[in-house]
Amino acid sequence: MQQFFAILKDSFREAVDGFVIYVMLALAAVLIVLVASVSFTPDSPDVALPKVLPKFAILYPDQGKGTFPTAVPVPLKYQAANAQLGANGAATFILEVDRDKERDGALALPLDGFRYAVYTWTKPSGPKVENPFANRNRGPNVSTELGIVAPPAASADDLKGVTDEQMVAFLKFQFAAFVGVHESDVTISRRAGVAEPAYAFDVQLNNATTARGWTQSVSVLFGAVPPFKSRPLGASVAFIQDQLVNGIGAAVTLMLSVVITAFFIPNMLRKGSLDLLISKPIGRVQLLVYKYIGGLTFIFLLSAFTIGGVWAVTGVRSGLWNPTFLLVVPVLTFTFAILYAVSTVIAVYTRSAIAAILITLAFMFFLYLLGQAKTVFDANRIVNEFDLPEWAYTLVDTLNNILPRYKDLDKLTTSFITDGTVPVGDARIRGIFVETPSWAGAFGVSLAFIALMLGLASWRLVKRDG
Amino acid sequence: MSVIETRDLRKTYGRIEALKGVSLRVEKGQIYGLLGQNGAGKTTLIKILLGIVGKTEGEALLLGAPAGAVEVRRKVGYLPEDHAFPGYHTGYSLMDFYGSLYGVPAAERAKKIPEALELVGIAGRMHSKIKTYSKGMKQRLGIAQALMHDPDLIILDEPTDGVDPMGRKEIRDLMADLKNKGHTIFLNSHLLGEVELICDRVAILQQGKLVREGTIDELTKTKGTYTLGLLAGQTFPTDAVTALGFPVRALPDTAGHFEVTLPDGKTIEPVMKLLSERGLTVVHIVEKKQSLEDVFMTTVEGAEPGVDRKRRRGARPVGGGE
Repeated sequence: MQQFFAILKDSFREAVDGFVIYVMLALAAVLIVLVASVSFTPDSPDVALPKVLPKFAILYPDQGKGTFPTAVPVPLKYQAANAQLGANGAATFILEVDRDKERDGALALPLDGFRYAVYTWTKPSGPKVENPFANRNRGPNVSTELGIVAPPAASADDLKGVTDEQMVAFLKFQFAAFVGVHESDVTISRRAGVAEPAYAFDVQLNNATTARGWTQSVSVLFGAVPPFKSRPLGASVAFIQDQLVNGIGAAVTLMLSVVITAFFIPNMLRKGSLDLLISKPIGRVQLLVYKYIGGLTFIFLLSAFTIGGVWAVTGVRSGLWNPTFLLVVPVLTFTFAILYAVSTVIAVYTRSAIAAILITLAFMFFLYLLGQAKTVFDANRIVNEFDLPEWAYTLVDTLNNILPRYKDLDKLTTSFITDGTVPVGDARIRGIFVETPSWAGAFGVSLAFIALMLGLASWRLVKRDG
Repeated sequence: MSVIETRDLRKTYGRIEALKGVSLRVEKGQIYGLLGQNGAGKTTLIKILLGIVGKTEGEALLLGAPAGAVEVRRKVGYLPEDHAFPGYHTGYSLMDFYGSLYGVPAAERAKKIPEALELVGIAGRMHSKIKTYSKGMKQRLGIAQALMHDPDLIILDEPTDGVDPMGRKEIRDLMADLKNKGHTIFLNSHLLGEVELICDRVAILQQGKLVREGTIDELTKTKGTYTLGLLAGQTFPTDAVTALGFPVRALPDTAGHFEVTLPDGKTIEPVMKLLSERGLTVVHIVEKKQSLEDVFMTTVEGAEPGVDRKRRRGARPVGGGE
């Protein structure tokens, strides 16, 4: 272990010797300060509730345990009346539920839409819905099902059997699923005197304004710029953490890290330098692997600083502490491990940092394009928009199967961030459009690729004289 | 057990034969010098001993174990010829890094690093970045890193390269001191005068072959030639000595000294007896020796240097690799 830590320390010295690391740290610091300057101001219930209540039309069967929503949202109108904001962000209002006159009639529905919605919510998930785009007959790779389930059939007696308790439980779930409040913070009671199929409920949401789904006005530069955007708190935090940090920030970090660390191996292999190292009691493979890990440690520390900083300031400024965001650190490090393995093998064969940088960045770009192509091809399997030949699907799928899952790792981090920021109901909607990649596929194939690259580099280093 | 032992060691780089069956032994406590022109195969030999390059044929043992074995390298200190220390290190941090690779415990490193740097005379700059060091300072640092872990065998490839005359003297003294402490030193140097001053045994490599090997005395002794000088005013009996069968030649630019060559199987005794019988007083008698440089020049005379750089496309190899 002493040798391992010695080489880690050496890599660290090498990294901090240049100016690029300081540029990166400065950029990270600027990003953290910029994020810290974002202010969140909760909207009043009159503004927030009309934005969130329409989502109640989305139903997750099996009392919310079904992860796929029903195919046909019940056209109901959920409205808040007499809304007030109390102490500690508690919102009280009357929730009125009625048929959506504008959409009603377009669909063949039972008369009492709300009872039907509650009934659907209580029943187990139905079969997946057939893909209506599949019959475009454009290709052989089309999915025949969608990620949504069919609603159950219900008789008039079934609907009559829906109780007030089930209605209250349903609404509590919806508030938890789409506003993000804890169910124990929701108090609901049905109001008497409202003729069915209209309904009214007295609702109190404690801690509503700090909930993920509650809309908040966003301003930047510590309020110097007036609020310009009102959106759910979780969506704003997800934007910062996913788009700004995991997207642009991660891409820039990866590219700059490729540049900085590309010099590690060629410098080690320089004439006069390698002899000094391999005359010491350390194996060549060990030396290479330790140096490789040294490069990874560099980006791990850098991303831990950046992501930890952004996580802390978003937590302080928004009140939304999303620990899953911190998982971006190991995933980003793993993504870099793929690139650095390529850089290492090129460096060992060519001893040129420039070749390592150019080929690694080209490979990174290729993986990005492949990921985009895979996304487009997978989407086309559902919407059947383009006439794509069989061989093109085979090619993209094969490349995706054997090469590191760069895009899948990105999807995984997006999914971490989304799951930790947006309310669960909103997060599940993603599942209709984006399939969360498997851990085994994303990490397994990538790990095998890294092992192959390091194996090739080690073989070359062991076989060569000096 | 010899510290270094090679038997019929061979190395080829493609079509180039860098070593052509080298056999040598270095015993404990010796300072062993390896001489040869550029491309004679000296550095190749050292690199094989350290496992930096692989041998093609033959055997190479270091401290009784196969050369290049990881555990053996722990007991060896090495200064390569064209060393390139990372400029981002300070002298101290580099020593600390290498010391860690040797497995020297932290407390011991903290004690030994300043001592080793003091020994080579750069302790005052140990916290400066290496990129600010002169060539001589880097050379001294290289020697210090080879000594720090108290190795049994120290292999130095051109240790005084770039060092001023005063520094060379200090390094020679240091090597002598290390020898007295029981260390074995394997020295590769072009500075023949230096090698002659400190080495116990010397080997000369020529185009990958070991062409001479022995102690300094053995190599520099010129068998059967004496220089004689008589008391001032006395005349050397050239004719009488020649008549005895001993060729004589007056040495120019000397104070009446003559060189007498002994025929095979004869000693200087008859000449001394003749001089004595004639009442002549011998005030100077020295068995003639060559300098190591003479030996080296005679040995390699007429030979083409080897190849120590990448061969140009199409050029034919003329010898071994450095």
